[in-house]
Amino acid sequence: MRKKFLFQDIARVLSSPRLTTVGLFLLILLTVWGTLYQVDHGLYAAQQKFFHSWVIWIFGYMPLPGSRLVMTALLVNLFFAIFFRLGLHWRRLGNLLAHIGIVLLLLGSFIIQLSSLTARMVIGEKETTGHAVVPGEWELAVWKQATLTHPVQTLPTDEWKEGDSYAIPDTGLAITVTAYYPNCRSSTGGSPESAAGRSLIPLPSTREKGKNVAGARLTIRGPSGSVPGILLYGLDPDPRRIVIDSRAFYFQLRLRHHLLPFRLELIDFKMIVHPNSVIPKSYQSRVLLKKTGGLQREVLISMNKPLRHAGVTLYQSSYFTSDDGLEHTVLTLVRSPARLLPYLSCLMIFVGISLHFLSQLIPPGKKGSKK
Amino acid sequence: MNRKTRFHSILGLMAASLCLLGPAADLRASSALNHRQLGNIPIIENGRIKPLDTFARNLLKRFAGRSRIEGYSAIRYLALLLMDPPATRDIRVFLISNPEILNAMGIPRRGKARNRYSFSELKPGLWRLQSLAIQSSRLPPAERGIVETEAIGLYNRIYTCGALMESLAIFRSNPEIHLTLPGGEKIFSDFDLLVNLEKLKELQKQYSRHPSGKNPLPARGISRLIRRIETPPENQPDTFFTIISPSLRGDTRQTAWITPSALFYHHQQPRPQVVRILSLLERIAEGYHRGDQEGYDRAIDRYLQLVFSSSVKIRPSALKTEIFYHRLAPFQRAKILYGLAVLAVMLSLVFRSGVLYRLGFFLVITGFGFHLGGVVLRFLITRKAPVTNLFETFVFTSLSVALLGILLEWKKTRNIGIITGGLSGFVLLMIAGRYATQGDTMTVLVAVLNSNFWLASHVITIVLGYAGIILSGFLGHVYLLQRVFRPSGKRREDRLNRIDQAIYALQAFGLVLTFLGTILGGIWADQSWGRFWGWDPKENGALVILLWSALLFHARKGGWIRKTGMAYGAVIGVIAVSLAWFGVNLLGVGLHSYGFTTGIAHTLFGFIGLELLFILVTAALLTGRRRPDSLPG
Repeated sequence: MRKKFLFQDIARVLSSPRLTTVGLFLLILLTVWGTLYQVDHGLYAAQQKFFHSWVIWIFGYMPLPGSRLVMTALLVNLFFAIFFRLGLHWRRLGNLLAHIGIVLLLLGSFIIQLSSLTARMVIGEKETTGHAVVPGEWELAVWKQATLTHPVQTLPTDEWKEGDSYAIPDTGLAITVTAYYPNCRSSTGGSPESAAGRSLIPLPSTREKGKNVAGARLTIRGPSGSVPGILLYGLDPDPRRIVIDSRAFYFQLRLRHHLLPFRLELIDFKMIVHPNSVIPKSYQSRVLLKKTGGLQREVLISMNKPLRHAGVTLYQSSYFTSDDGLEHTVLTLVRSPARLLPYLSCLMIFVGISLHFLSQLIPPGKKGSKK
Repeated sequence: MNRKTRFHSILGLMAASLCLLGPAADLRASSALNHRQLGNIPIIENGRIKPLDTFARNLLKRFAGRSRIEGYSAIRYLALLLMDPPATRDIRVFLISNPEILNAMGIPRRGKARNRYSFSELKPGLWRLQSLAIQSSRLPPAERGIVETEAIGLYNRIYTCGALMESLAIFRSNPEIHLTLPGGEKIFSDFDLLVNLEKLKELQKQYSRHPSGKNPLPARGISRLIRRIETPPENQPDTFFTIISPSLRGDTRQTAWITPSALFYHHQQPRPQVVRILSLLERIAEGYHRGDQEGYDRAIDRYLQLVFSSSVKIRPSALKTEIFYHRLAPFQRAKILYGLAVLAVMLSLVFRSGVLYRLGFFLVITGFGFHLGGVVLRFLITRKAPVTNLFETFVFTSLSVALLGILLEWKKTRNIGIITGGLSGFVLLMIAGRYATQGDTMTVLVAVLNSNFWLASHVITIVLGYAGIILSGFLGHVYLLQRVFRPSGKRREDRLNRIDQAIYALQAFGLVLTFLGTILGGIWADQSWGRFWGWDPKENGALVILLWSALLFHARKGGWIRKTGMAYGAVIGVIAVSLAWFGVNLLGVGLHSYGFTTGIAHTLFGFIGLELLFILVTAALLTGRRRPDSLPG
């Protein structure tokens, strides 16, 4: 009996609109703070500190709940509210629908955060590419052949620390990380082929994660020998050739490649401006979509008109002209398995709150009085 | 060619325009002319085709901060600049807000600190201004102070003025173009040379076959004139008077419009076609100088017929509608009517007069009619959803607020609907008016906004939501003031209950519409940026409004606040809207860069300060009375 009372008490507290009020207030504080934080620290840092965090440490020792924690608390509050407070009644249908929609929205945002991928695809006019790169994420690519078309192996470098060793499967090689810098610059004098006279100078991380340039110094070990002091820098255009145990291998530290099941050729990039002005009217890339099996078709990607194909969406993001005068288009690639969840949940919330407020226009008991 | 080089040349050109033609006559035949028909000529500016009337209004607003100066209408001032530059010499048109600019130019200050100066008054300091402007333009924009920014602004205004003076210079008789012929010395215009080029070449041949065998003097003069017409000048200062469309000159491969001078000097078209277009313009100038109203209008009509028959992209109806819109000044009228409506209703409360109340209702409805009419006219002109820039969001929000106020009044919240709707409509239109003085308010859309469907659905919905929250906040003020100042009694409680219901309903309306607008924005962002939500400051602003509104409903449901708390919450909601609307623009970060604005920080923080003061004072007064429902919770 006592246990039942205890559970009811807990359920009453956890389903209370007062708890929701506190949660919403904290969320407002975090949103305002996180928005102001963007001005000096950039969007990525603000997202990590305020919007994607469980706890925020103020001055390094004072803990405050982060958005994830507050949203989880609100989620629990919602579950209890749905099951113990709202109940089933036609007048509460809208309220219930709105709250279920919010649960779906919160869950959807967690799923999207964990499962989505954002990458960048850069294609020059008349060039073809079949991969996108993930800004801010680096990998070590190792080839066996000089053709360099297909990497034998790639190792993500996110977790690299000094002294770590990793085996490179199918090569018989292993690496030991002598030094790894998430952001650094390469000293002048020296070339990618020669570590002599060239060094990496560590830099603090930039405001935008995608602007960091990683660098590493590795020791590469083969079955019967090793090559120490291999310096790899993220901006080196070509891989380094290393001969070990009389076999040649090619190593490159590069942005993580996301391989696509299709290839894109840029036929033409166009920026149209409004006449007699510098105001852009539209950016558009005419591309040839080449599928496996030889099928191909022309597609026009422009602002507000992305290409959706094979589970990914490609958006017109930017453009630039290289030193040799070649126009390049920059497309943003997004793969988000739960893409439709926000749509569905927002629709539920909208219908729910509309129904809820409309139902309040009907005075309670009217139905009864008619009887 | 850089701006600096062009500025050097423009000073010379301005001097030529203003001095070569001698002093302006006190009484000119042209001074009595009506320029209405001139205002119909289409021109392109910043990517948008507009009537010359609008161009003139924007120009005068840029120069003088108003659309009428010293009795000159904008189009009349432009006509003078184009056709009779010396007559503009003494018109005090250049608004200088900072007297330090005058010190820097070595010009004595006249009267009050913020004043308008003529070209003649500024002329002695132009070289100093140029030097200061060039130095200032080398600084990064963030490092420029007020004086530097103003110097660049004044420099550009004078440059534009000089360039426009040169727009029709090809039709002016120029003492440099003279020829001594058997009949005596003759002075021509550049256009005369173009028209008579064949004759000149024939004359040249005749003189070069002179029996003496030497190149006689007239032949040398003719060669000089032929060279002048065949060798275009390097500097073409006039890039503003772009009235020659590609279709008019028969060059459909191009999209850029050009000026008459550019057509004259750099034409790719056959000469007869160029002469045909320019002849029509010359007749306009001729009609002007003769002061012949009929001939002037007829020449403009013939030019317009050619323009409209050459292109379907130029919509004569849109041009006429735009001129009508500017002459009607619907938002100005609506603002005045809203103000008068509020005054009438206030007086009706003081004198308990039903007539004044009905007058107030009539005025607010009439004001709303003008307001709505203005929005519809803008849609007819641009064919875009009327929410493309900050000016339009103010206009649309104030329209929505006024409509909600009228609906409230209709639902028997006597006086309050008119007072809150009218007052908020008045205030928001006042703020909109500030943006209108910065130039054209019908700007073309940047690429990312260039989607009528998303623009209409997302922005209109969210702005309607803002309107609900703003009106709810205004009612919150009314509720709190009534609690503080009106004696208690059943009538007061009935009235407060009605206001509370309205606050609740409008808050709900605001929440639903702001939420819908935010979702539509999310879907649009998903379409163009590849993500539904990205914690961008503008998105966060909308989120804060939603969270605050949801918080109010939950706090009320949880019993933490009641009617008074809801009223305070509604007032804070207005602060949240103001921060989401402009506050985030001040941060200058994020993807909504097309909405960034500057120079409103003081006004915004002043407004927030006043609101907080209102909250504190009313809370203190209500706490002093120790009423059970006088404080939040």
